[in-house]
Order: sequence, then structure tokens, then C-alpha cells
Amino acid sequence: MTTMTLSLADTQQAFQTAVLHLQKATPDFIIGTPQVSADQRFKVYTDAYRLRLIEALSADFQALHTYLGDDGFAGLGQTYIDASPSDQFSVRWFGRHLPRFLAETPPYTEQPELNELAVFEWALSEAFDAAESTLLSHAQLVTIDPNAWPSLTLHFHPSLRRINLHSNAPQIWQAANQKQALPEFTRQPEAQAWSIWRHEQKLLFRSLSEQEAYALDAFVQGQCFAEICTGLSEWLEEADVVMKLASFLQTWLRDGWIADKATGVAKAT
Amino acid sequence: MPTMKPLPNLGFGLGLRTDHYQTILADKPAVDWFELITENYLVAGGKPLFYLDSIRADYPMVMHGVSLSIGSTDPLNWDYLRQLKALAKRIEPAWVSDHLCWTGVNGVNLHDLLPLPYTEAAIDHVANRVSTVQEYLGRQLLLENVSSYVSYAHSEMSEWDFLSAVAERADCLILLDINNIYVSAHNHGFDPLRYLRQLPAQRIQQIHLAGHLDLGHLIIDSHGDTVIDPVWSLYEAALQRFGFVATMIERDDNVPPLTDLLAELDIAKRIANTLRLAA
Repeated sequence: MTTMTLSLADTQQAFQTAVLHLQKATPDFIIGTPQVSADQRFKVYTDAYRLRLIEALSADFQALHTYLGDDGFAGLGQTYIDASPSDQFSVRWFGRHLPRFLAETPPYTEQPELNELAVFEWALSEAFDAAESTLLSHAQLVTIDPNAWPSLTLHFHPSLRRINLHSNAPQIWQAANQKQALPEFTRQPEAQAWSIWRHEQKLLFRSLSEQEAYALDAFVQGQCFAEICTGLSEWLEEADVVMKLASFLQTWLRDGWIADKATGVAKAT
Repeated sequence: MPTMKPLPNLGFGLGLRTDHYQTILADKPAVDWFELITENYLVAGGKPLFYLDSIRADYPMVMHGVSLSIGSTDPLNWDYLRQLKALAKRIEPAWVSDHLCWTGVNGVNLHDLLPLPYTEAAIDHVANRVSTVQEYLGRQLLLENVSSYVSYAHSEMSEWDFLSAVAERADCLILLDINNIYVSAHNHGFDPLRYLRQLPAQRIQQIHLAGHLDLGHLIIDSHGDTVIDPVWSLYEAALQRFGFVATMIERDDNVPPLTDLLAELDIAKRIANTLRLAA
């Protein structure tokens, strides 16, 4: 390559390629000094690229980092960085493909708990800076016209996430978060439903019964109160269905899940 | 290019860091202003914006970005610029800055502040893009000199001539990072005082001070330690050359208690006082 006529675009293309692919030689337009070779100088960039992104992943997947240890996490980070170069302006989103990467990429596929831990941690990170919304109050709920209840639909706080896990990933996360010894990974044949959300700037999570998860998922999909009552009758006596669903709504109000749709904020998300 | 009002001189500031949110709100420390990292607040909600709005109620702020990639040959990222403009509307910063660098091409972001070759073609390229961005934001942009570890065989001029030419051609302002001058002077073997002498004084709007990591053969701009004495001396030389310029300390790694940074900021104040320069 003739450096005298090298365009800015070609310079940047060659520079970036050599940062992304460690097997590539230092571009020949990089010059050294008597003290420091071109290779040594360029290595500052190739090293910094990987260290910075592994650090970003560690910030979002702290429990996964603890579970894998420094070397294991750095190895995972390196593989992921090579597979998924960042295409976002903010490093905030760099880790968003990591759960799927762990689910699809050998040898990580042999440890399904890694995917579940990553799914859980990424849901936490999404809840952390999701949009705000005002919440529906108990007073607003009780003033709803009784005739309108069957067609009632709900909007939820934008931070609310619903995931299903077969493992004790939340317990592993909690232990790591409190810097305690991590429990053994356990796996159940049946998935457990979990919700993760933010309330008054605190990140919260809890498990849901099968019925509650059904009702929540159905509301999120836009079904109305009457439709969900019909669905719940698969588990419950018809006489108990309305009380059960009303009790779920009370709990969701308490937890800060139901958005006040009159604000229009929830609609927009 | 819209008509620009002269920007205020804000005094002595600090970088806004999550570790200090609670202390700032509780103690209302005597800091003239804070510089926020733009990208940390380009989110939909939650703690980042909650604390930003709370602290903004008490302090002037400036916005400092790392993703503009003004020197890239990729098209400008209009999604980023729209979000940046919306944040600026929300925060009403005294000014908006980013770096004279590129961060990636072909849609890839290396999340690093990569140096440009110092060529006439690069000056034209960057100056055109700065003009576009200034037009869109309706304000003058500040561009910061970055630390660098490599030089390009096809560079046609010094870094200071390149920075000055971009600023003049684009009619933008300069955020002068004194530590970066020191770091690059070591890494490339130039005289940092010559760098200061050659810059257009009227365009220096803000100064960054920071610590670094000295590996001997190379110095790395780590923002992980205190400002060293030779950088303070260079700061003094900068104030002698430019008069008082809004000054702040950047700390991104090994972030100490806020009181430590306030004590470090006092060193900057003492230097300015010794020179009888008012903030």
C-alpha cells in the first residue's frame, strides 16, 4: 500500500481490521519510534479494545463473571467480542446478544445455567434504565365503572420484564451480588416464572405462580379482564376466578407494575 | 452557521460520576459545575436520569460525549445526534463537547478515541462534519485533543496544527486536555509547550486535567490516578498562555471519595490564584 496516497477511509478500514482481527499485522502506515516499535504502539489499541469491552460486559453480567471467574469470563468475553463487534454508539448495549450467544455457542451450550444467569442479569439491566411511567393508584382502580371491568385492559410499567427459568439463577445472582459463596447450580424440569422490575429506583424481582404468570402475560398481550377470567377457569372454580384475578391486580398495584395509561407514557412503549 | 453568543466561563468543575451522586445531593459540595458523559444518560429512564435531573437542579452542567466519531468516514450517526440534542434540551448544558477522533467505520464501534492522520484531507472532512453538527445542534461544539499512541506515516503536519486548522475551518471551540498533551508529548517526543504556543487562544473554552499510567516506554491515558506535578506545571503554562479557562478534573477509574477530588481541584484553584487569574 502506498501511504502517500492513502485515503482517510482506507486508513480507517485498515486500522479497524487490524484491531478487530489479532492475526492481522499492524498496518504499514503506523510508524514506530526509536524506543517503541510500531507493533508495540499499535498493541495499545488492540489490547484496550478487548479490555474495555470485557469491562463493559462485566458491569452488566457481574454474577456471570463471579460464577466463571476472571479467566473464564475473559475467555467468554474474548469469544463474544470476536463474534459480535459492537454496532451501537453506546457500550451500554454491547452485552445484549450475550444470553443468546451462550445458548447457541459451544461449549457454553453444555452449561445452560450460563444462559439463564445472563438472561436474568440482562433483564435486570433493562429494568434499570427503562422508561418511566406514572402508576395506576388503588383509588383509580376502585373508581372503574363495574360495567367496564369485563373489558378492562392494562398497561404496565416499561421496566417490567417476564422471564422463565429452569435454574436457580436468581439465587446465584443474589449470592454474587452480596459477595457470598455461590450456591450449587440446580435445574428443575419445569420452568419457573419470574418478574423483574424497577420501583422507586430500586431493582426488584420475584417468582410468580403459574396462574399469576398466565394472567400477567395475557394482560401484556392485550387481553381483557373477562378473557383472562375465562383462561383462569382452567385452574380454578368459576366462582373463585374473579376474586383471584382481583387479588393479582392488588398485588401488581402494590408492586408498582400497572401504569396509569391516562398519562400516555405506557402506550408509547 | 447560527450566530453564537459567547459561552460563559464556568470556573472549576468535576466530572459527574455515579459514585458521587449521593454525596453531591446530600452535601451540595462547592463545585462550580459538573461535566456529564453524554452516553451515560442516553437512556429511557431510571437512576441515571433521576440523579442527573436532581443534580442539575443545583449545578450548571456541560455535556461531554465519546460517540460522535467526528473523524470517521462513516456517515454521521443521526440517531445518536437526535438523542444528544434531546438530552441537551433536557439538561440545557453550558456547552457540548466530544473528541477530535474517530471510533469506528462500517457501522462498527471500537469504543475508543482513535487518532486521525494529520492531513489536509482529514481537516476538510472533519471541519465539514463539525459544521453540519453545529448547524443541527444550533450551538458551537468543543473538540478535545485525544491521547495517542501511534503516528501515521502519511501525516502532513503536527497535531497542534491539525487541531488549530480544524477549529478555525469549522469555527468550533477547543476542549484542551492538558494531560493528553503531556501523554502524547511523551509518546511522540514533541515539546508540550510548543503545542500550547501554537493553539488559537481565543478558541480554548475548557480544560481537562487527569492522571495517567506511565509504563516507561509509553504513557497511557488511564484517568485512574491523581494529576502529576509535570501536568500541573503544564496547566500553569496553559493559563499563562490562554488566561483563565474553565477547568475540571476527569477521573474514571479508581474513583476516590469526592473530597479527594475537591482537594485536587483546589490545586488548580491555587495555581489560578497564584497567576492572579479570576475564575
